[in-house]
Amino acid sequence: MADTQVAPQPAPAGTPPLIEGRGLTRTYSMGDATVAALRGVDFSIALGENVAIIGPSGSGKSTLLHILGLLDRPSGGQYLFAGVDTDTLDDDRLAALRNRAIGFVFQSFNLVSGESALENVAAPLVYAGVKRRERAERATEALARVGLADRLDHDPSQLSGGQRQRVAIARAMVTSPAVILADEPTGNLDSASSRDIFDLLERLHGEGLTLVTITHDPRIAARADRVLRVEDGLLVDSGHENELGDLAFAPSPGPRASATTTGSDEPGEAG
Amino acid sequence: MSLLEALRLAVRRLRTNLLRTALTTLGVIIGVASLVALIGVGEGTQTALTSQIAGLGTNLLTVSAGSSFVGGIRGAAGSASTLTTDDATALESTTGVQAVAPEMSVSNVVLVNGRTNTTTSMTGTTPAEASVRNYEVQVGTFLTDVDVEKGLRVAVLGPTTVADLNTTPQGIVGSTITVNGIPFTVIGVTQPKGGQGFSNPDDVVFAPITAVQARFTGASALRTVAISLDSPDSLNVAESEITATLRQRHQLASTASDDFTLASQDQLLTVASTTTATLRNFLIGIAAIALVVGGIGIANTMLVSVRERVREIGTRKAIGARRRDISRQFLVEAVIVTLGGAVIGVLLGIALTGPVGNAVNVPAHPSLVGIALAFVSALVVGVLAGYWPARQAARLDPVEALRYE
Repeated sequence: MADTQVAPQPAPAGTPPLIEGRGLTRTYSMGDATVAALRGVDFSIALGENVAIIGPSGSGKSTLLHILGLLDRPSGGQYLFAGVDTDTLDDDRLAALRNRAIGFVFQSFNLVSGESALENVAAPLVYAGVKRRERAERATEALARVGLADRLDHDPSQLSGGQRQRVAIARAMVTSPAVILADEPTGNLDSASSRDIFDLLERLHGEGLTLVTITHDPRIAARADRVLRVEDGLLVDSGHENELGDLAFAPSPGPRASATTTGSDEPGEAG
Repeated sequence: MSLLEALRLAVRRLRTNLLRTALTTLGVIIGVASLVALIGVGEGTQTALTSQIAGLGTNLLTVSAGSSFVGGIRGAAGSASTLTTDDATALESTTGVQAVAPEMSVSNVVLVNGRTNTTTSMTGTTPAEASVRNYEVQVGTFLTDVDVEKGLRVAVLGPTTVADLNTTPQGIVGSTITVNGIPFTVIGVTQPKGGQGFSNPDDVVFAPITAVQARFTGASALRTVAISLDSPDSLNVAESEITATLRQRHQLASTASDDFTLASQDQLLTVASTTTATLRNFLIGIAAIALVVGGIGIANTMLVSVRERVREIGTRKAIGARRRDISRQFLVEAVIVTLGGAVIGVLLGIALTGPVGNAVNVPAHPSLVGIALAFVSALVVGVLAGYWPARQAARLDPVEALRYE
């Protein structure tokens, strides 16, 4: 853990935001042509926020989420995670950060079939070097939190879509990350399961988790603290309650948010 | 991810694709089993041939009537009639020599016993032949000095010859057979030496050299003189002494080359082991090809497996797997398959060595060296076969991998 280097940089005004993008661009070369998926995006998200990213398909919101999740690097601009310029981190450091500070929830669940719900949830802990016994305990606890205490040994194929997504959420939380990034988490679910999943995510947010969700669903976006709208690779509008830049005052005061105000705790270590 | 975790993961994965795992492993099993069995057979051949040669006579030296020079042209070995019975007698007193048996052979003689007949070769010799060439008698006696002195028409047969005459050792001793129409009394049958092939030491007829010369060859020139030594250590001394004695007796000038050829059992052994080593290497080569093909099977399966699991790899990267975690996972899978195949292959190879040896008439035993070699090569093949797919998996871009359908 000590080598992940997520210690906050000294910031002029209190705690730095958990996530901060400065002029982020991302271009892809397709043969001769270059396509700009992001064309200069500035934003920041504080610890404990619940942020929705919306926008039409092809707008660049998935690209933005991949960069936020440290799965991709921006072509230009600066991306700071917990105050650290991620450009200075090598691939192994990024992997360690993804492992400990970020939890992913995907539209298509991305559970590994052939492994039980418990093994799926425990997988991040394997890469974190947690001992087998403790892994089982923590994974069981995470599954209990999403209401699947009785499904530990089930293969993903034996579970309903909503249950699979809960397993995925349990997997995202099991390392007690600083933020959960959810990419259309209800895109493959019926409306009843969708409501379930959102209730669950909101509950977790209420317990102090930072939540960033990509969604098409305006009802879901309406429940977020703040909405970032992406269009043609640019942020065109932000927030129905908060303005960009006012973030220092925005976070709902969860336990994690108050923990960071001491300035000593690392988001990666949280929990 | 620790090695133990990678092992757990790999075993789980291999279990879910049991049929594929079994088929992939089969390639390695066949490769390793044939390697073990063929090395066993190769070494068995070598051991059998060596002991067969040793059985021909211990510390044996043979002097052959050498090449003659006529007008500067070297004739074939045996073309000169330079070796005589007197030469043989003279060699008896040479340093390091234990016994000397002059040999006069007649090939393609027809033996008739009642209504059955067989064709073999006949050797005219002395009682010393038995000790020089390691013959023991199972029924009756070997040739005696009296037989040789008086040129008696008596014969000692090899067990194969007896069998070819459709009778038993007990049944033939004391009866009279004809050799090319000349009657001989059978006085003994030798113990089997277990040879086979071109010059079978069990398919022989021994008769007193005097009788053979009188009835068949008519000359006093010998084909070969077989000499046994006191000990293997006296080989060098004996060789030079014998050469000196014969050169002196044949009155050769110091510039002239020998008119005889001296061959030791040692040389024969060297030739034989070189030949069998070539044979063994050839067999190993064939088995190695089988193992390489098995390795290609593994590499192929692993590549397919990586392709199938692109999304899984993407997911694992998203939840914190580093490149080396991913590559280790796949490499361990490949190594488990090869090691599993190697264990089963070795067991199968051990079981098959005997039967395969029987099929080619060689007493074959599985060799430790062969097993170790098979194991190590299987491991090497596994790592090589797993390396490229594992590297491909590790280098996948997580975003691309997660998007992969």
